[in-house]
Amino acid sequence: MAAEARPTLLSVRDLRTYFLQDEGTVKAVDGVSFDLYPGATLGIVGESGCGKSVTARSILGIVDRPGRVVDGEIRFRRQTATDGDLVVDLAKLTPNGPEIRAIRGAEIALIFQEPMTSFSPVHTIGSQIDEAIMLHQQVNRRQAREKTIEMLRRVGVSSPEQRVDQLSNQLSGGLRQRAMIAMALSCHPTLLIADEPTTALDVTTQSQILDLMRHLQREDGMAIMLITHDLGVIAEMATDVAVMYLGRVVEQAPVDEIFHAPRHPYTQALLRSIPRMRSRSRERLNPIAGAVPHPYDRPAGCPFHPRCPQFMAGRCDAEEPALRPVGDKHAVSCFLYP
Amino acid sequence: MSDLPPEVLLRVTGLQKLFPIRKGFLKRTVGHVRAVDGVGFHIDEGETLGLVGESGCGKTTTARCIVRAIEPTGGEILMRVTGGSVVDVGRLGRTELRALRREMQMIFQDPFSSLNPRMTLLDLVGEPLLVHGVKSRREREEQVADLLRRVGLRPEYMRRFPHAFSGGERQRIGIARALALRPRLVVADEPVSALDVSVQAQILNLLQDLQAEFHLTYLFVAHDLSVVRHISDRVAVMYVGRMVELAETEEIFTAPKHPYTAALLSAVSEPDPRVRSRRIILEGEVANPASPPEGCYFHPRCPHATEVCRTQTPVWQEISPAHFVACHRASELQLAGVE
Repeated sequence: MAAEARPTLLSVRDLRTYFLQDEGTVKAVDGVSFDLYPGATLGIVGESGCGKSVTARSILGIVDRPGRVVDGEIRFRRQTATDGDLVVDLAKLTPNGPEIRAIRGAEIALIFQEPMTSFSPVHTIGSQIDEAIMLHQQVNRRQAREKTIEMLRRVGVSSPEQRVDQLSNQLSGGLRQRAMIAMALSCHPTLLIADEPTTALDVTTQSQILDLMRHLQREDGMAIMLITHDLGVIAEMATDVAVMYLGRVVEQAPVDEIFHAPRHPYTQALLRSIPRMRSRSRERLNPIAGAVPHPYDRPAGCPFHPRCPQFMAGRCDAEEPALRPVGDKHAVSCFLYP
Repeated sequence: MSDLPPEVLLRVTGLQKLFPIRKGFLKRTVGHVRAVDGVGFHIDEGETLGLVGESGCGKTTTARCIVRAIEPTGGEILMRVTGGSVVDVGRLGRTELRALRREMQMIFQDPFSSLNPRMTLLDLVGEPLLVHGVKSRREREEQVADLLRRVGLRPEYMRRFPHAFSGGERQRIGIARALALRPRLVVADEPVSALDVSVQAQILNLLQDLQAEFHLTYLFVAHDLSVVRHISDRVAVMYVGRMVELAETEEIFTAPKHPYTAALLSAVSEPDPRVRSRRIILEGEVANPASPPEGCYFHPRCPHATEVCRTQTPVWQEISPAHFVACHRASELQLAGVE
């Protein structure tokens, strides 16, 4: 990556998260590196099994067993009131120790894909947001409730005084996702990780939620790490994009370059294969041959080589390409670019 | 018995499906969810009609009524069957319905739950053949092998179970099963929405190839507008159980006449950062089909609603040749589509 004057908020280097199982090791994340700057939006795009969600969970230290971070650095810049900025390596922190728990939910917040299952069905949404606020801020129950109502109003929940006492199943999908965002932002995080935040929603609701996220980002200045498989959402929201395939970042660049000057054959093929709103009807699509391999039998060498139209025998199936810069802020892992 | 013009394969008129809401100890019906309420359209032989709308708009219920997976409450579903006669699908008895299954088949959304995990490919794809009288096992094997080849799977895989296949391959199995009886009409309910982006294109191309090869007619139900634009000849848009617009694909995408269609089109995120478009952000939520608002169901969210929209139900009118819309203000509004 080209040198940046701005300090990075989050810098992930060579992250490896493996699931060690009896049947073999699933290398869900296998050498992922990227940088995220304050106030920017990094889109992480990839198909199922590419490791985008596991990357997010590794950052927060909530990888499900038997998975664990086996190697790499996750350097996160903390802003402290007393002695300025402090960079910590999240990968080195004690799992579930006090430091990661102070960061998780407060400085780094997460919104999930399923607003249905991410709230407890037996507690009111208000009490769940209150709890998050009281955990990280020195406030009493009444002040927490005031903050909760204020937060719900900010995310566009109508009559929040009544909604606050409802259970999550009494809310529609769009409202639940708004409540989820209210909870995530209640402690003013510097980094918001959104894992497929609109995948379960209808298009008109999706555009409401994306609009809301952009609006809140402008007001609060937080950085967003947006994980999705939807290239449309990426094009609309992201400032920078990392394209993942089978546990690796294959290309990272500013959003305009990803869509208009993609370098990696996978990025190029992916963009060619999607149907577009502006295309002519009944045109033939250009699909990518084959399917994403099962993580147990990951191909040797470059993981994309069996599907790659520019496969070079003896090279791509033997060595693994590293992520190298090919331009300003543009990096690709492919042997086509020496 | 009513008749159909020669080019029409299926004509649906006034289709209605109400689900009762039961409450209390006696399970008395206290109201109805009007899942589908007066839907009508026709599909010509060999064409693809896209049916779009958001969740809960009744598009899947409409599709399921047409194949009689559920019983419609009212309306007429006329279909031309092999031999040229026309039947009302909604009124067929058990035996006639079974014969009709040769003519219409369904492709489902989820390739993981729609295939029985204990059946091999041979059993899965061969089952419809067995049910419809291909008794000889050897003949079935031959036909299954042929079908698998046509959907792009290797016939050697015939004795494997579905778990050995990826999502895209499973969707191919589902398509082979649907095509086993050489149907005329295929109702595809979100056939690519559960698939990875790189695999979607393969299945869409396959569906187009098979349509040309077997002269199939598709009713293609989907929420993804770019997919629908890609595959359909004409598109119908539904909102809260009713049709709001129907026109040829190019026309509906470039010159929508219903404010809901325009909002839906503008809500799609284009995979191009240079066209971060001017959005029509709709206020509020989709109306509840158990207690829809008065007048036009879309009026509480419509940026163009007037007094008449709040009180009177708009009529389904042909605003220009083959372009139908249900909106009071359709002729005066200038709405933007995608260029």
